[in-house]
Amino acid sequence: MGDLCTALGLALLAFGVFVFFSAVLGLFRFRCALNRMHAAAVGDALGVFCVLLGLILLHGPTLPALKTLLILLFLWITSPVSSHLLAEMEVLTAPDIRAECKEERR
Amino acid sequence: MTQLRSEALTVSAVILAALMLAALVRAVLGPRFTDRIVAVNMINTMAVAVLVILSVRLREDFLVDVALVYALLSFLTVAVLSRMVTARQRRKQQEKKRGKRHNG
Repeated sequence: MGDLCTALGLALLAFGVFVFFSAVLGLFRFRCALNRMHAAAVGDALGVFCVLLGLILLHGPTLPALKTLLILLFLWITSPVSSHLLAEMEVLTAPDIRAECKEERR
Repeated sequence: MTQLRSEALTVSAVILAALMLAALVRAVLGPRFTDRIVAVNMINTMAVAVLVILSVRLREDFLVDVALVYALLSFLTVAVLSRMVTARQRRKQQEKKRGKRHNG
């Protein structure tokens, strides 16, 4: 049981680190700020979920595991809020937002 | 298994530190203010992950509390900075509109 939990936790941790890597890669590859926010949100949601879930499994049933769950909940609640504020700021301050993101016409 | 566990934790903490450095380069390069704040937000998230990894690796329970406070502070930073810039921009736009009405 303990070995299984450790193996699962390590696998989740490795996957989370991979997701963080792809998020930072997206931060470099994308062209405008709103696209970069998309890449950063992947790391904020999936990356932190996988890493912290793996670490909860590694902690075992203790008080720090509960606190780690609290951190996960807090990050999941606040990440959309800060994304919203950042997008609002970007749309207000960008010199020509219409040219930057071409909207879809139907 | 214990050996593998501690080595994997160390390696993932080192990789996350390297990724934080890469995001810091993005924060310095970023052409717009928003790019910089997005990169700093990314760095803060990874710092929380590294702190919890270290708390498992070193068996120090108080580092989880440090990570919790760090998460609170990182959200506060982003919220305050973006609200400040948004409010200033709105005020500037309103003043421009009022000036146009006076002149025209």
